[in-house]
Amino acid sequence: MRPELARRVLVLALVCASVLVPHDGAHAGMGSLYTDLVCPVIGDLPGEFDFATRFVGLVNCDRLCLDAGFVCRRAVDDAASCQLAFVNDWIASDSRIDCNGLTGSLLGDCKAGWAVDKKFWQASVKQSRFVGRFGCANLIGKCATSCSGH
Amino acid sequence: MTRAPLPLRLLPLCFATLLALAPLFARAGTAPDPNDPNSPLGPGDKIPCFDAAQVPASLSLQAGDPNDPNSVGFFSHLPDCATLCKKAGASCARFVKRAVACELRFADARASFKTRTDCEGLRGAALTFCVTDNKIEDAHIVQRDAASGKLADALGGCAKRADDCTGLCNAP
Repeated sequence: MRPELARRVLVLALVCASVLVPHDGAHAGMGSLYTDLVCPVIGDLPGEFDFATRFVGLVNCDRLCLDAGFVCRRAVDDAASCQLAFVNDWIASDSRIDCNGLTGSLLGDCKAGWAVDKKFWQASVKQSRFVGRFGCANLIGKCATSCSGH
Repeated sequence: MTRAPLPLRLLPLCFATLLALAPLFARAGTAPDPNDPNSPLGPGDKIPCFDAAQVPASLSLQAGDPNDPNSVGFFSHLPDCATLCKKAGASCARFVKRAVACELRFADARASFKTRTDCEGLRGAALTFCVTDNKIEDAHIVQRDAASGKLADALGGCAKRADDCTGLCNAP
């Protein structure tokens, strides 16, 4: 497999892992800066919250639902920010090794390849953030419905 | 008919008072659960943060199989190996701090929501009593201490990994 293709597959696998695989799974021997994602898995976050029926009967039920949703959204945004920082560090380090010793157009191609991977990975994180925020908004909706007794 | 002596007449009142205060005494004897099983935000053992203690272990800094004794350092073939190892350690430390900050923020959020749900509508002394009675602040402190307690060890872990990495810089 071409190194560039191998790298893309690796990045894609990491992104998929960040969404699907629990973060305690190890990928030892990958030969990268980190063996595993060191940020919360965005797709899991709305599932960590369970406030849909917790405020029923309280005077400020709707307000509490909204604020709890903000806590959820904040967690999603923080996780996305963490993952974007992770992408930066990971790519900076691995590209440094991968492009080491190259000069001229080869170095340019190497760096350009990593820049594409980085953009792709960043876009995936931002997409996960969008889905996570939607999950939090969904929780607010369910919670508000519980408040009104429907 | 003669009236019973005063202490005897007060006995039922004393029993009733003790009975009413019994749950308070029972709660006073138990330490707050750091997982806060009744958190209004969600299941007690789930928090939306990465475990800071796991960050140093995720820092690879080794090329190939880490169980291989002949394995070389991740940056060992690079001229600025030591600098890169140091940067990797700094990266690890940043993720540790992020994780701890996340746990601290969530502990604050849990305490805030617990107060707003369990003590809704209360003000002043009644609110203070409710927060104390429900051990909200105690649980808050336990959760914050648990999060802060991870910081030093995890940062130490990052520094050690970076040092190990630097140690492999001049390996053959």
